[in-house]
Amino acid sequence: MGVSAGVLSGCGLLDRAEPEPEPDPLLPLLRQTVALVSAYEGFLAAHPERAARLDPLRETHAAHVTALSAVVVQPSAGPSAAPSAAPATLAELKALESAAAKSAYEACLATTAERATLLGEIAAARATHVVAL
Amino acid sequence: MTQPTSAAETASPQPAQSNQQLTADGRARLATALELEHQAVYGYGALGPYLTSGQRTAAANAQSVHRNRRDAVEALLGDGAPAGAAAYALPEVITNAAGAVRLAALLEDGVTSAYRAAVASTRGVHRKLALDAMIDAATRAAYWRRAGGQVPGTVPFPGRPA
Repeated sequence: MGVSAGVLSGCGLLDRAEPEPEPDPLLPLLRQTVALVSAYEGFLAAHPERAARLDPLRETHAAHVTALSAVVVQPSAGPSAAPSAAPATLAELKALESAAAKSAYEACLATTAERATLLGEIAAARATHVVAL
Repeated sequence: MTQPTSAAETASPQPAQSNQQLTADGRARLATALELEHQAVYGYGALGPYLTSGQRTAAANAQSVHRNRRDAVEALLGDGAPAGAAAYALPEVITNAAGAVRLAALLEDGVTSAYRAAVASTRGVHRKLALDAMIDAATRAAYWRRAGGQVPGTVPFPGRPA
């Protein structure tokens, strides 16, 4: 990271700027949720006939982005999600939901009391999506 | 002396508390969930006969799941666990299959809310119990709403009071 090892190590430590704070443990979940909204948008653009069934699910993920953004400490760049190809099939979308449900479930079990209820709601919503798809 | 550094310890607001111990609040909330489980077991028994045969199987499965959770929570709470009543005033009067399906969704919504309220007050295996039960009930509630013609039958924040 630009600090030469060895002879300068002692000085290097002192010269360093304030260490970056630990990233919020829910940041990956927030980014995954942003990516889910994009996945639905991409899929719906190609399959507009599915809108009646899928729009409510997309809106749910968007509501989760809003709720998570309110509690997750984000780096100044904001919740950028790596752009990825939209799922081509309903099965691919379902696989994304399934993975996302698992992430939220694990996050709920690992998190603080303050955040557990929201994560439980998100985990439950995603589980219902997997069955509804 | 080094401090214990397990994830459970660092995440805990009350480090002295064991992972397996229920707080008074967690206990009270699981007791409420148990009452809703009693009601669900009773309610499925009352609504089952009004359903079509395919739905009746789903209702019987649901009733069996609620009975198992009721027994598990009852065993966990031990003495002082609320006992089931002989009968419950149900939130929906059943006269036909559509009403029975609506009632099934309402029963599952009630169970979902009760366990949702227990998630933040519990940790470790007890939070897992509450979360698993919450997810299961939310999934069944959505199933019954779809059976009643609502597509997709899901809600953005399952169990959250309206």
